[in-house]
Amino acid sequence: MKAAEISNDVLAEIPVFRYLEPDERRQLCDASSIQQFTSGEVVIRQGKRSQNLWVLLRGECQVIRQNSEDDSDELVLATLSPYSTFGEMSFFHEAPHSAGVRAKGNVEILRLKRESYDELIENGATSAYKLALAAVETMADRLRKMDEWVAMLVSGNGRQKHEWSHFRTSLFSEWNL
Amino acid sequence: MRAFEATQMYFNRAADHLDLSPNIRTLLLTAKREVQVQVSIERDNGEIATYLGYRVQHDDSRGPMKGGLRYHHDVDLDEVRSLAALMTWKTAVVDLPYGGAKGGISIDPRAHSHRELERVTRKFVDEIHDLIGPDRDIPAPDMGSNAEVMAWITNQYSKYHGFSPACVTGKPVEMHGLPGREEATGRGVGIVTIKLVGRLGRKINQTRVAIQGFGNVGSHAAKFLSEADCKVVAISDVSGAYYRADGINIADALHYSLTNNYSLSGFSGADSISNAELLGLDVEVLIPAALGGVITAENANDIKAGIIIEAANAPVHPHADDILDPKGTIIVPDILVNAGGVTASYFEWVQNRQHYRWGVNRVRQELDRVMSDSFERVWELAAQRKVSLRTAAYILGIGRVGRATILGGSV
Repeated sequence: MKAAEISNDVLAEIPVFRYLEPDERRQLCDASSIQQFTSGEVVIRQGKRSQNLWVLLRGECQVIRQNSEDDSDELVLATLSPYSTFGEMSFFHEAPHSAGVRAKGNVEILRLKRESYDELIENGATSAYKLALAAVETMADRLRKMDEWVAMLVSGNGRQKHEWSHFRTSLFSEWNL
Repeated sequence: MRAFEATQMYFNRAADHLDLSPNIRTLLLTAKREVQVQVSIERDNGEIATYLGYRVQHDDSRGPMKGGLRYHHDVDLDEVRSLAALMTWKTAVVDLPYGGAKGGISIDPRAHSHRELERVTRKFVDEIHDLIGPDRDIPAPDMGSNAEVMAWITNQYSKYHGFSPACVTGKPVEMHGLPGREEATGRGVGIVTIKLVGRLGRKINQTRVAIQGFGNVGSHAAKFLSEADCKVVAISDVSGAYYRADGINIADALHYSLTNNYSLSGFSGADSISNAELLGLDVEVLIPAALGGVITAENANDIKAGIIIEAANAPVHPHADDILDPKGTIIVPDILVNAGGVTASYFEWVQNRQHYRWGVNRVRQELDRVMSDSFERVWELAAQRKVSLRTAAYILGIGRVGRATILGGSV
């Protein structure tokens, strides 16, 4: 399938395109290409650099975090379903990928390269700005969840982990009578 | 609420102040070891009888474990477990180098002959002799057991381990016991009372005292306080209560009780009143020295005494405590007040380990020091942290156990 063959109905389903008018979606679609991967193929490799925004169209992908060189020591962080977006962090900020993405079964993914996006910006295409807005909202939401998680670690679980030192501090300083 | 449930409540109040997490509370409350053994004997009539014996060793972070051995038909593991924990806090409050333990046998001692009780005791020692001992766990008399039972334990234990008088305390003076141990708990009650009256800046000879209970604790407390110039205006035992506004002659009352089968029944040196009236007397100091739970939410508002000295275990119900404490009634808690007994036990153990007999004057002098110092620590802690004497005592005890646990690195 070519990018031009994607129906308007499908494009309307993609969350990251939610602020776009139908013709703007088509414009972005035309600037992108469809990539196909077979089961187990790596879409994004952790630690490598690339600047693409990906929208999963068909099939599922896994987000994987490896904690060492050893392939067996890996953690599946999430399983992505159709119309999910990924790669946006590296897309907007060039840095090595913090996690990898691998196809789970045969998949089709819409890929927008950063160069293509930059061209749209240069031409003053509103679609590029609206896409960025949606992507920033998604990332802000993720950050908020991260904040909550950190707060929970610090206040609740974190304290439990340091129960013994808290006990020691309490009895040897405040209550050493 | 049974007495030991009150202990749990008071523990948690102190633990809240210390900001102990639930896991740390569990660590501190869980017993180190709990043992249940079969104690079977042939009774005098040829029947086979089987009793359950218990020993709970709660905590040994501060030293060998110490606690009474109770002979009572109601004894069960729950009760023994909580009393073992109470001993841990009590030995810590008076800073003895001991942990806490408690034991018991589910037997009604009054329904058994002397010989039967001896057989039961020896059988129990056969089952637990490897778990107790001068450096491990040192039993003492408790409800239903006495100095003679301790003598049997010493004798039986020594058959396994050689001469070991320090394996129990509360032994008869003729068998490595401590002169002055009998009076020690009551004397400790008196010492704490005098200290408190002094702290409040009041005159001893203007202090009127009512004492409920004229057993080992109550009678010795009465004797000590009257000798110290307090006015003991009321005493009581199961026969009733006795009141005399300008003070009862305690020496007379003691003599009367001793010659009257340990009963005050018919005592003519004071007027007869009811036990309820004794609790509600207009006196400065009330000393419940008999049973637990005598001051409840129902009668707490009748209490006119400004000071309650808990000589018995848990005589003030927690709900009564919640009424009296806000009213400004000063309640000196049991874990401090009646620690004179275990303190004398400590002296007995030291005496046995030294193989050097202490005289009664030395016992009294050292007891005075331990009880006075402990009272002062609790008093200062309560004043500094603005908590009741009871909470202060628990904070002191739990804090000492907690620090020993941390220093020992047992987790």
